[in-house]
Amino acid sequence: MENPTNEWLISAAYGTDCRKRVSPELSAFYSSAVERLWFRLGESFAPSPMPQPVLEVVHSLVARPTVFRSDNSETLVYDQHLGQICNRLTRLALEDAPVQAVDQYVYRLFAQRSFVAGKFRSAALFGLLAKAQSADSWAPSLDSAALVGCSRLVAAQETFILGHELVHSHLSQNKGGPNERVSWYADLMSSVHKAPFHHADFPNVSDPDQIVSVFDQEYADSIRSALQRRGVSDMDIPSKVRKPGETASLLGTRERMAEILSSNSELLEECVCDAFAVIAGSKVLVRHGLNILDVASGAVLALHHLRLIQFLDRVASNRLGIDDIPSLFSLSDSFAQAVARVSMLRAFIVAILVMNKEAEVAQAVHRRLIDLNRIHATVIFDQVLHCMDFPATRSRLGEIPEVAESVEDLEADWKALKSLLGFV
Amino acid sequence: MPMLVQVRMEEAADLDDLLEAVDGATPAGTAHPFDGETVAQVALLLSTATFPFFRTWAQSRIAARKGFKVVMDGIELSGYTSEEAVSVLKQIQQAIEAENGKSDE
Repeated sequence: MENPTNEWLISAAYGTDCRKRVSPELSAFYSSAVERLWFRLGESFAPSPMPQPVLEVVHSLVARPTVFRSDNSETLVYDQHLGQICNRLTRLALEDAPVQAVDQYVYRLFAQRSFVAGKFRSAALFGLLAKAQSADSWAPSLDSAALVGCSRLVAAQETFILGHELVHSHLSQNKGGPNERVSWYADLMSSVHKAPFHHADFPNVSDPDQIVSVFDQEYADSIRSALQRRGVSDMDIPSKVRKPGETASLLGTRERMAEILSSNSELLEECVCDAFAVIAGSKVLVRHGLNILDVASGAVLALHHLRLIQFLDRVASNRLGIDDIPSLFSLSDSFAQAVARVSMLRAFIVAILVMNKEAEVAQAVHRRLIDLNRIHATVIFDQVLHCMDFPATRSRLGEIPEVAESVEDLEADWKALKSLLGFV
Repeated sequence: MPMLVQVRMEEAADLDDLLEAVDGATPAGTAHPFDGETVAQVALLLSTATFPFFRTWAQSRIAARKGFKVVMDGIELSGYTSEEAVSVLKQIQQAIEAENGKSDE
């Protein structure tokens, strides 16, 4: 066999039918974004000896971008389905959708991730569950301001994701060698993290105990809010939900970040890609009327949504059970690193704005990004953890005779199964 | 059946055995998925004739406690344990049989 063509690689990785649902309008948007991002990144990095990566747009259940590299070329494959996932999750979160609507979409997304992992029985069971779940009472708002606001955030998310991959392309040109942009970023973040409590929430507070008590209170509020969403409003939540010292220890992670970054080159590269994707993205999107608040919000939401997909992928491939959740909070784990990236990116954006003497904007961006973290955690991720016992649900469902029969039919008919998952 | 076989970058040299064993196998560079680690990959056109060679390679990896991933038609099958490897090999065999069935029609 000769060297495989792009077409061959893409068919294997995304499916033979991955081109047929591609929207020409969106493809044009992605092409233009990649061209402009590449140009803007050229202003930050040394000119690349490699040409701009070839962009291939697909639409499939895989939903993840991939960069294929050979000796003399790079191909960035972008899956439009990821944009649809970002759109749906953004609307559910920002419109405070009821838990039934979130459950329905989480089951559907889990079914899709199961299909991609080759777990067809699980895909069929959760696809049927999503179909049966009643969420009739909720539909995304058709209000034009909500639609415009969401489409701006989705454009910012997709531009960030494309930009992140293009920064990897720039960095791959001098792997192993020093890169002055990476050093600049590491130095900047080192000084940010060495500051006592740099963040904009507490400009006038110097007592760490006071900050810990505010964080404890906010954590308790978040739990109360999550419970209220499930109809539990009379539970007495103590102001200190975390164990003594736990909040202080979590806040201490921020101070250890500089050390963690200097010892983990992969995490450092991911953070650099996030940072420069925001810088290039803000220059590209300003011509579409988006400001730094939109761009920063899109970047943070994109990281949350990709982390959710990563999480569901692990559960779908049986690589994570409910007992393994504590391991996710160890920074040796890529999932925990994804959480750290959100915090690093927020600190980076705020630091850059402060350096540019835009303290008020920095404050507003910081506030908004913290709010988005809380909204995503309360409306989406908490609900995912709530219905996290997927293996138990899977076996319960499998024991219902009529369900088992439908599942058997679907397992044997991939076309019907894909159709159930929204891919006709 | 067009297929990609992927291993971690630091184990890229292990793909040489696959390139030697399976007729028509060819290097396919690397793939870097978002939020995933970069992997080295080989492209294969598996058939009834070449499948036993692939199976031997896959089984020897599991015996050496090394994993692999197979990607075909947009489905990603991971083989990191012996149970998973058995399941992956079964699914590939079924896919080959299904394709043979199509070409016989």
